[in-house]
Amino acid sequence: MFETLGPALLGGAVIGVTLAVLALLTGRVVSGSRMIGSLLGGPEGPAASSMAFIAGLFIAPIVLIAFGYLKQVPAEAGLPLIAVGGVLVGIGARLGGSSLFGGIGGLARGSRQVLPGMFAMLLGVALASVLVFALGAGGFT
Amino acid sequence: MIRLVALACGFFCGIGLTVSGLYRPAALQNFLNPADIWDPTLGLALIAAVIVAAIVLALTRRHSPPLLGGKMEPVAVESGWKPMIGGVLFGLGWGLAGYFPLAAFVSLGHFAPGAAVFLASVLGGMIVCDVFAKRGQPRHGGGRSRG
Repeated sequence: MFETLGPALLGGAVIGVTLAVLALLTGRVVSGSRMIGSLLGGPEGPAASSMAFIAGLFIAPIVLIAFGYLKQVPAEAGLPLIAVGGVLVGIGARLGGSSLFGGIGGLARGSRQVLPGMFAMLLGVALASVLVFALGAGGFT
Repeated sequence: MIRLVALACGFFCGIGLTVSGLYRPAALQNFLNPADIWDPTLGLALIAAVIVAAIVLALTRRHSPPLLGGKMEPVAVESGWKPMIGGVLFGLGWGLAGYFPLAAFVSLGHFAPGAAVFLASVLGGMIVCDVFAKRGQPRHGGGRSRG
């Protein structure tokens, strides 16, 4: 388990810098759901910068692959389970305005308002792991 | 200029998600599975992100308004019971699918088929939510064809 320690911390630090830089320069919150939400005409922020951010996310692994850093498609759950999960994430993000990275960004800004949503998210994840265990539908490691 | 900054931030965020391994659905499953092989990647990467972002924001004394114009986007857009219900649904969906939206965009760059299904479903879920909440007519869902 320790071989992933360095990359996890390094990658996390890089993410942290981008959260801060985007907030400082543009005021926007790094959050995939909010970026998608703004494409649907939500109040989250300008759609153009959301598209640009999403394009950057999409390009990053392609560039890394081109430089030979990565080799594999990540292992995934079954497509029906992914579809159900996606709909739940979409409804949850739109309804609650909360998301994983929205919460992370909020914590970094010292906001306590994101805490209820984050705890609720933990509860949801725990529920999901019980469900996956009960259904025997896991095993995408 | 704002778009250029957003593109660069998206790029580096994608690099961070890839290097840390957060984009993999297995990151969550391995984090939740202390019995088998516990992999703390998810927690460590997220904690590192919070700490580094907080340090950078503290050092720069949180310029408000943003340097390139516009206004600071609020971190919490809803209040009351909505973030709770929304958070539970989000966590449930994340746990079932293994993806959160940012990870799915990065996995799409790895040509993972499930990531495209996930993003289309997220968009569908949001549209369903909009229709029921009557938050205004959603624009044409251009994201559906992506990937």
